[in-house]
Amino acid sequence: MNAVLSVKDLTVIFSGFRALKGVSLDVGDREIVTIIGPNGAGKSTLLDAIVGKSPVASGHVYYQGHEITNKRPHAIARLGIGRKFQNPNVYNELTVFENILLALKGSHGILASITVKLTRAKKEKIAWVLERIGLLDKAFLKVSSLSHGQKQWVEIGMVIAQDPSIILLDEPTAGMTSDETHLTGEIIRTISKDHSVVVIEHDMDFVKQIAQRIIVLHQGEKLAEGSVTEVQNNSKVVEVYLGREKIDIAAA
Amino acid sequence: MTQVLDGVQRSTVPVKLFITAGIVFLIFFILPFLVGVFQTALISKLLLFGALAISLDLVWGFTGILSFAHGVFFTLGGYAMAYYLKLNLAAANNNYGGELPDFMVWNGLEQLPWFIAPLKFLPIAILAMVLVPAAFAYIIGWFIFRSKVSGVYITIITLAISSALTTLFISQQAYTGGTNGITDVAILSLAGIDITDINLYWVILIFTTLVLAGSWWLTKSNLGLILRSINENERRISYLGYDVASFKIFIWTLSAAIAGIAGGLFVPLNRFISPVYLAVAFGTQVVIWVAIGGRGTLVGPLIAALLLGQVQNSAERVTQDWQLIVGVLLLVVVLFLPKGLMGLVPERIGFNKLLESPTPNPSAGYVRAGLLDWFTPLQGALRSMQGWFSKDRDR
Amino acid sequence: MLGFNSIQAHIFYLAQEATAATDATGGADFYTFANQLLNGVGIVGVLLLTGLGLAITFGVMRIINLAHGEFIMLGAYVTFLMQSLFQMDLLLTIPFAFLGTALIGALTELTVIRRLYGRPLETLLATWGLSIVIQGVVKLIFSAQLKYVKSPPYISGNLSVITGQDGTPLVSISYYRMFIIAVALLMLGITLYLLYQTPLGRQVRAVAQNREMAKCLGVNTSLIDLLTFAYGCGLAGIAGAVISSLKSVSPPMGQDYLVDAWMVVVTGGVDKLIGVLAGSFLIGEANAAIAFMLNDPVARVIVLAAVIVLIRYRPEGLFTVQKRA
Repeated sequence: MNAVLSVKDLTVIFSGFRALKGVSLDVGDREIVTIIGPNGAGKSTLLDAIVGKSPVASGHVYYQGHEITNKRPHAIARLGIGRKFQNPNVYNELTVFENILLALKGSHGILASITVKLTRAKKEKIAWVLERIGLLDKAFLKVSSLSHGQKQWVEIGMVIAQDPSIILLDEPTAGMTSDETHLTGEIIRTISKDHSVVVIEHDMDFVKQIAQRIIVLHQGEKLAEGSVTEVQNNSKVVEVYLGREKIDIAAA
Repeated sequence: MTQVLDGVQRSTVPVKLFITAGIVFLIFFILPFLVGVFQTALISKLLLFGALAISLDLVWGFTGILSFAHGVFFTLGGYAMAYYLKLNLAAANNNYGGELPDFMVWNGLEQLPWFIAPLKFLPIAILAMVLVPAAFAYIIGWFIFRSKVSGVYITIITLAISSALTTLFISQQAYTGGTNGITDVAILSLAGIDITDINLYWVILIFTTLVLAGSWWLTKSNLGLILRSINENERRISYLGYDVASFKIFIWTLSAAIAGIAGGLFVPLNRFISPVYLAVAFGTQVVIWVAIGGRGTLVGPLIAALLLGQVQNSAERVTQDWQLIVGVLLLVVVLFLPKGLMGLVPERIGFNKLLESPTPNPSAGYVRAGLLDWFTPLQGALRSMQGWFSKDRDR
Repeated sequence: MLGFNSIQAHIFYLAQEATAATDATGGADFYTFANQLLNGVGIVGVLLLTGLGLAITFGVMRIINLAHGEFIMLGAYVTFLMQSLFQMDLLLTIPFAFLGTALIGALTELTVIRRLYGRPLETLLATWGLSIVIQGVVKLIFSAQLKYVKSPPYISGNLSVITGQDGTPLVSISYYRMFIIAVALLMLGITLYLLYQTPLGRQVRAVAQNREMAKCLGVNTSLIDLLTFAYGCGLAGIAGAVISSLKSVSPPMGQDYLVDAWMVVVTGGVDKLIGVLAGSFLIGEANAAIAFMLNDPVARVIVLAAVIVLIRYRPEGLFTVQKRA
């Protein structure tokens, strides 16, 4: 498999606590990889380490064959890795249009930011992105006036506008209604035609809607990997999840 | 598909704004003929303070970096000019005959220190006036913005810088004139002709106008958008591929350069410079102009500096406790008027009305598109320069 | 040592300070240095006392209080007032200084600080405005004139640590400086006890760590905020009362202590109260040692620069454990 993103034996340590213990993973071109796992499994930490937010203690991250381990976030972003955070991380004081404009791929230097012109091509690109996330009619509204779900979409739009080859989405459906969740699934399926996508998710229905390959993380280690059915029938996964359920039932 | 976005496409120049600005400029231009000599000098001074306030607004109002060190940049520019004027004092006016300034003689220096000597020449002094504050700011910026330190800690660092430099300048009497600073400087003259106060006023008026217009243009460009985004959430924008630190360093250095020029122009007017302007108290004054005028409005801080200066001038004749009034004002603004006095101006008749556009949903992009079309020649030049300077190469 | 010193003295030629610096190199180098170090210990006491209140308001509550110096000044004025009205002994005025400043601190919390929780830059600005206002008001009431406070006669004089052959003290420290250190350590002890050994202190720490959770557990957070801030201001008041007799009392006196107090808290780290002790020791002694080798203003500049570097690399302070970002 020709991997776009390749993670080898990644270990992340927070003041002695090993949040990730030698996790490896490959993401192919235009593939959707879904990461599931209980709280504290290290899902978000994995994405943090890939985008340069959390320092990697050992192991390597390769992007299209080049090592990007521990590079600075903006440098990694420019290479073509887009990240959506767990909570909507958008600019409330700017309009939807401006949010997408900021994210557009292009030169990110200082002089460029002063001289750059809002070309027809850019406006078309923004319109194209807005159409994909279904917010074309809200282009000139301040983001602060949007609903929670719509803000999530704005952020997905920002990531698309970066035109990355790989998109990392951290719980994109958090706080959404079931209709919104379903729409988000459709958005993700559409964008996977042009990009590789890594999604962290809890909602199993949603996972079934989008997933091609699933990776299960547990206590900083990769527990299982495979298709939906493979994972569901994996004895270790069943143990972890059923074990939890038992406890949950006992607690309730 | 782009129909909805057509609003941003029609680019027109905000005519009303330009007409209003032109009228205001003209009024200020003829002002010296209407008011006395004293007022002309006072307004010159306040215009410089206004430019200083605008420079702080760029880093604080837009980018969210609260600095108490802008008085420092102002004063560094001021000292550069003061050395020039002091060293060019005609020998006849110098009590000690020689070329050594009086305070150096008093403190036992026998020759001009090498780092002060070149300031005898105007081009070097002017360069120093811009470059010394800018370089100082660049070093500080490079040091503090490329770290995880942010927000309040940056502000505390600026307080420490201001405090440290004040102590340093007061203690190095032989080089800086100590507490008194550099006094009794020569009148600025170009090609043997003394610059009169009224000419100086016009120079200052043009400078402040340029600062205001330039800052406005900058903040309406994509840069303004990026700066505001840094203010709201700097982490997010770095994941969009922007190097936040370099943007901060850029605006911080630019702002220090503006402050330095303001300081340099201040000295021929004020006829002296002293560590008073380095001290935290003056830095606070600048912060207060911006806070009261309205953060992120550019014109607000300028108006605040002009108005507060006038009020202070009249108030000081009546009461000794001007500072108390300033303190109360600051408290009131922080607690009740977070947008400053500009926030009081109703939208209906306010500054924004002048930017009114035919689209129902105006965005910064709309204005920007218009302006950039307008500045095309400049744009071409800048873009070609970009090739030489831009180190941020996309891979 | 001597050579280095004279070169430095030449480079940093100072009108007032240079004479002192060259004198210092004159003869008994060791004794001067030892004296200077003991002087440093005296400074440590003042730093600890002034920094302690800030360690509460900033370290525990995360309030950027730029009016801290003014609370010190208010404490000094309370002492002055008590002395001039009732000829009260300085030691007796300390409780009044505490109560008076704590009361004003409580008022401040109710009217200003409370509205600005979670907005550190706004708090910083507001407290700066407040500091200007307090200075202005005190100036209106007491005038800008310097006031003097009498230190108690039974803690005057010097304790000589090393005495020369002819009986003249070579190395000594004044009793009053020792008294300041004693008060500072006592206040540190009381504060530590209150914070870590009492139910109230547990509530304070709970609010500091997780306000929402504390609220859910039935802690009256707004009352805790009020009490904590008032206590921090009260400590500043005690500092003011004790320090008042060292120099004169005047409206702008707090400004000097403000910068120092901040440096101490930032150096010591905000998490552990004990860091304040380490911070004041480090800054006080560094200041004294550099001042001995160069001179006072340069020492101050170097210490300030060092603190800037420190903030840059360890904003959480020297004595704090690194945590997950």
